[in-house]
Amino acid sequence: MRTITAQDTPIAPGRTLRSVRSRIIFTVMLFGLAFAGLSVRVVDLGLSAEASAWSAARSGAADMLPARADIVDRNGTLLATDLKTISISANPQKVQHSGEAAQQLAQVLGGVDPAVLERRLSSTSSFAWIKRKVTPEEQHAVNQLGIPGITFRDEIQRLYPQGSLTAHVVGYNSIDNEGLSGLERAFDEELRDRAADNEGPLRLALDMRVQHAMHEELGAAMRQFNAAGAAGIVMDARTSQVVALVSLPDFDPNDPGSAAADRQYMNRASQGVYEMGSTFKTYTMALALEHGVASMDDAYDATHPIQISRFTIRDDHPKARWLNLPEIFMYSSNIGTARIVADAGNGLQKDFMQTLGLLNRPDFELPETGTPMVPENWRNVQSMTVSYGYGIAVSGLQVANSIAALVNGGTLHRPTLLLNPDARDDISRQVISAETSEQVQALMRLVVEKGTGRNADAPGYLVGGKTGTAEKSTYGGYNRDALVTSFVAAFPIDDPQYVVFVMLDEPKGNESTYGFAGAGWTAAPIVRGLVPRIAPLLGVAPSKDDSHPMTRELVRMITPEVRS
Amino acid sequence: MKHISLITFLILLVVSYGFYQLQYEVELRQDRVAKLENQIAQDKADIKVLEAEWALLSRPKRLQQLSDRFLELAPIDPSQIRSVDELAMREEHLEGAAFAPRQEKAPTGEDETPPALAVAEVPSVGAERLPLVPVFNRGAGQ
Repeated sequence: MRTITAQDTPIAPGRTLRSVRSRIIFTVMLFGLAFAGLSVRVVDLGLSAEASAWSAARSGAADMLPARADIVDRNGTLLATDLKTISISANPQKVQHSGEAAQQLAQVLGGVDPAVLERRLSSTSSFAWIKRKVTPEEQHAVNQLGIPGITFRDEIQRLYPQGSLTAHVVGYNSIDNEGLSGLERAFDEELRDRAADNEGPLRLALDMRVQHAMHEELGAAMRQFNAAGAAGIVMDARTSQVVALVSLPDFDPNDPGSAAADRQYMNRASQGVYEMGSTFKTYTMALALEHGVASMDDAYDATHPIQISRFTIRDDHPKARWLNLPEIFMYSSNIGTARIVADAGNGLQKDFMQTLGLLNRPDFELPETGTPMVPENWRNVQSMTVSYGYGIAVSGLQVANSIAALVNGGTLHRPTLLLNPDARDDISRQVISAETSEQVQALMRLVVEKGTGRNADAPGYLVGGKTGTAEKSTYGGYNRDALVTSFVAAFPIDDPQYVVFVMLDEPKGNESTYGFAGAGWTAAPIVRGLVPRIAPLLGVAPSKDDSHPMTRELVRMITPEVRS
Repeated sequence: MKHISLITFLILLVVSYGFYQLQYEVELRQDRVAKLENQIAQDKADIKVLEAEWALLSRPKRLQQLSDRFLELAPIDPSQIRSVDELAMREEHLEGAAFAPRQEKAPTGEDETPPALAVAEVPSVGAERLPLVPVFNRGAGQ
């Protein structure tokens, strides 16, 4: 062992002492700093880091809510909302008597097959669903059973309180809350974002009260005339906001699998395209009046049917004489309309249809928006058939929207289901002059006062409209017994605030209609029933006037009927 | 110099205790915050359930069924709706305080006139009372 002696150190003692002291002080300061740093960090951890750890640990289902924003109508009525619900799952490895457990569970849970359940519970995996989205009663009952290995999970369920009333507009989701149809699909991402950013509900232009009235009137007409389907739209004539959109038959979006037939999913109002028949004469009239092709007192020869290539154009209510414009419209003369469009020329007609948005798929929120079927060649024959609504198939939405433009002073808007649509999407433009628009109003009122639409006259609300009866095309021709009848109306016609479109698919005549199934007998009465119900809800006051001022002039132009 | 260790040790004790107390307090409060947040989330969920229930109970179809069963109400007939200028106003109605707009007056103290006893001054019209009809102005409610 070697001892250290003073002789071993080569440095002088005084210097050594100073040097050692400075080293010690340096070390102490270093440690001091380090400990100070540690203390700060400890305090920091104790006060703040723990708080974030807390909130991370405490993320229950209550925080998941809602995954999707609510959908409400214009009055704030709830149309779709997220609710917390419980799903029951199991860890099959922990379930001991799978057979007995399956029996017990099937007894308290509705719609569960014990055999299927037993197979799931005896599997070797560590997870199996027992039943998703159960009621609180079911949850309680399963809890009471006390079977080990059963767990409850919080899940989100989309509820549609209005049920089938909104089936075709709001649509529905998959069990994993992804939008499958309707607005749920169109705004799938938007609804998630809104929920995440807490931006409040998606507000629709719909009014549930009007929607209900339409739903009920259409349903009654469908039963009365034994129709295969029906559709209806109520639209704000000045903004093209859709206040009601109904398609029948429908289904319950809370249980979308329950619909028995595919046709229940079909949206006949915006998706289905139909040859509309005589409602198209409104467009021909507007075209002729707007472009100076004809004026009200011009008459056309409707004495004989028109032969053009292999077609014969006949009238349903033949007058067999010369008819002026108001007469052609009120008697719904195919011959007269065809002659007008022959004067106008097919190019002008096609451009006019294009301007009204009848030849393209409308820009509308619903994924279920149909593309019209238009003639491939727009020659004289097609032009004539299109003039009275054959050879072209469009959706009810397109009819409602274009008629709104024709009666509201001439401004075409983009149809929308939203209360506050994005202003950038506004495509509003003048399509006809205000004068032509007034003439169209007068003609539509004439139809209801004197013509084929008399059954639509709702006293006090000054309804104007046009009937449309079309035979369904079948292979190689048209079926006289399968009709699509429609009525497009606006009220009050001297200052239109709302446009109503109703349609029946294959209505059958009965005793009350003397066997007739035409639009004047089947579709027009729906409007008479509907308008007095919805007008007070929509704040439309009854008219003091009993006619449109210009209609009175038109009435004087009509040759009185000779009764035979 | 030899006291430094002792003093440091004492300071350490005090600081540790203080810090422990502080942390304990923080934990208590965090507990409370968490409970409140849970409660808020639970209440929000409950409100959603109640709103959904309200929507279910106030479905137009259900209301109509209930109305058909219990109330003798029918849709408004156009003849039942009149605008204000169509109403025949009797002179005493026009002058009577009951139909005059209520005067909003700030309480200014001394010179405040006592409110007229409106009800007493209106002659009892009995059977001639105006019917209670919804009164619209054209285009109102848009």
